Amino acid sequence: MTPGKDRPIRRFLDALDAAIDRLAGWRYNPLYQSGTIVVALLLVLLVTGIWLLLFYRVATPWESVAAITASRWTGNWVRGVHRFASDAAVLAIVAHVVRMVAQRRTWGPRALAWFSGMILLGVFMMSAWTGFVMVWDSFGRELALEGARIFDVLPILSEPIGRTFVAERNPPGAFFFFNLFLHVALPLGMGALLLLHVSRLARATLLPPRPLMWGIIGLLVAVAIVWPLTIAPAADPFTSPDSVPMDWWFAFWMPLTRRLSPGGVWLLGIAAIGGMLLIPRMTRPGPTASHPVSQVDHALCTGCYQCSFDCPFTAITMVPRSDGRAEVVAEVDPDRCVSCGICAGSCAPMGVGPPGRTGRDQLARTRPLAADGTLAGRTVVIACEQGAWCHRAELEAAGVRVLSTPCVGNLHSSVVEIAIRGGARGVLVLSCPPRDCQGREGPKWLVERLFHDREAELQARVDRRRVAVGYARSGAPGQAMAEIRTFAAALDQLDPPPAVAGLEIDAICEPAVGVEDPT
Amino acid sequence: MSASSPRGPTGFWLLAALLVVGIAWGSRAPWTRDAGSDGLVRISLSARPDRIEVCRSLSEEELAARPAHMRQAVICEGLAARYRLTVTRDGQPMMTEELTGGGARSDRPLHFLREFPLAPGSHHLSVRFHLVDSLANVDTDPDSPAAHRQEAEERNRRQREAVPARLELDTTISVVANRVVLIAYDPQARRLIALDSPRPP
Repeated sequence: MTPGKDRPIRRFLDALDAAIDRLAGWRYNPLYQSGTIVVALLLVLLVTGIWLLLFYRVATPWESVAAITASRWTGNWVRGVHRFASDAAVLAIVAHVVRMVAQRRTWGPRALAWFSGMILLGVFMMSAWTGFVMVWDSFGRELALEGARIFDVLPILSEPIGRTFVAERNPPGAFFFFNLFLHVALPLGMGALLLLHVSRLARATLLPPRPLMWGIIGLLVAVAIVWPLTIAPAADPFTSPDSVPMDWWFAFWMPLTRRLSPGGVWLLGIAAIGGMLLIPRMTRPGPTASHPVSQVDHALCTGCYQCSFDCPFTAITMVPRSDGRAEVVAEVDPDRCVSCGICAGSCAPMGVGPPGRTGRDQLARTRPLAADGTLAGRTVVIACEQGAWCHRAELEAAGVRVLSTPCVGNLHSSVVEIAIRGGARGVLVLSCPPRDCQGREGPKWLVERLFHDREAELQARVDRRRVAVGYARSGAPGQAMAEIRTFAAALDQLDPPPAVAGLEIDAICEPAVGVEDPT
Repeated sequence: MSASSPRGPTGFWLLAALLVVGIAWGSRAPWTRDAGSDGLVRISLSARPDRIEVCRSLSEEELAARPAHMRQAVICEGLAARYRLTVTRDGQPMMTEELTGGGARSDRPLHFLREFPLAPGSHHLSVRFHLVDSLANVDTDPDSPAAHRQEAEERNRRQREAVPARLELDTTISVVANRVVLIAYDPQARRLIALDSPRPP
């Protein structure tokens, strides 16, 4: 079993993912899209925020927002969408954080994304708090008072900030202007942080699939129209209401911190931030778990660039050769390599990949099975170790032969060919859902390599009708079984598989180690 | 190509609709802060403390020894005064606290903010704000030359801006549930005031 898959948080996530997959299908499972949904919601906030800015007045904050609220068709539903999008973003961020922690996608080269994500979260929350204070209703004032109570314990300002909000009159327009400035400036900073957040990803996906994105936006608009947002009473320094309508998504902490001293709140906050900072260290696999960095066999590398194209983490660059041969050679940046092994599947001469997981290593493990007739007449399922592999017992009970691969992107197409040549009825590769691949792009490159001639492509001599890709995650054996049944039904339409063919791959595909570059 | 057949999005829409309704509810659900329905007395003071100084006039020789831009006739050393704030309600002490100016050297205006819940009804409130230290502004040369009058005026101006040495407020307040009575220092009138609503501008 993959290290960490037995942890409660991972089991919980797997069960939740599987449940939503059953309900909605993996294409529309929002949990797989948590990060991109946040970006889409930030864009919604940007557009609606610009509109609301036209009507906001720093001199009369509550009155101007009340006027927006009273304008049912041009104001209030936009304000509702603005508010609900920010709330939904909190939920999506939580889902994203839980997913990254549960799947241990936080350590090593991914630590930069983790730390920048933490800062993004902090900036996002601060921006939202300034937005609530801008309204200067009873909730905004409570938020300002509690924030001031916490900050006033710091020996920075000689005058307590809190006095600004409890004087005889409400704060002056300059305060709301500053607040508005922060509410606009902080999101601009978030844009730069977002670029840093995805800076180590190749082909970063920033938006969810369009049906999902527009569906979410449509739902936010619908709820903003059907259940219009109201405005709380104006802030009054001479009232102390027992009950305040509160946005729990952003102020969930207030009931707790109100019971603590400011010092206690700081201690709690420092502990929480410290714990978050330690997550990359805590989720780093132990010494027994092997995550070796990919290595390049300079003798085999032909300088084709394919591994550098396919690497999802921009860890591979092409550099001039130092052995006197022409062209370039791949070089792996160990600080960026997450050992996903996708490069191994991309290399036709099998000269790159994590030790023990190169195409050559995969063939060495598969060829004996093909040679001794183990696969003959059987349906072979190659399951991702992060996904359906944990259900191998159920799958084998269905009569298929199950092989594993650390990630379907790691799988070299020659392994599929060897299995077919070994007499297998067919080969079904069970991949994790495309947006849930821990190597990011494993399923995408697998399909391209098997069916669309992307290097290292499945050779044309292989009968494509006997090869399929299915999607099944851990925690959902039913998905895997359904894929197998569908594949078996397709195979039933075909003639019996041909007899065992030769098991030697062409020299161009699997040259002997140390052979000179034929070119 | 693929053996998979993803299900339609109907389930997703149902789930998402429920989720969005939950989001909208969480966006406005009331928070009941405290049980009961007391009123509040809020004491919010901001005042410039007086300065305890020991001053001395420089001799002609001392002045001559200084660079021209540093020829200040009277030099003073000192620190900000301390004050004691005492609040009693219906004869019962509510708080006593010594206040000093803000800032690292306590030479900035002093600020005080505290709230006390009080049961609704009529209460007699007594607030005392007294200087703790004795002011000993000693000018060793009362007959300062006219050229130095400006410096003396500046010191006098600072003293006039400082909070008086004694401020006292004895008043009966009417506390209403969920309402606030504000006790503050009015720097124009140089006295303590009790407000239950904003004064006309």
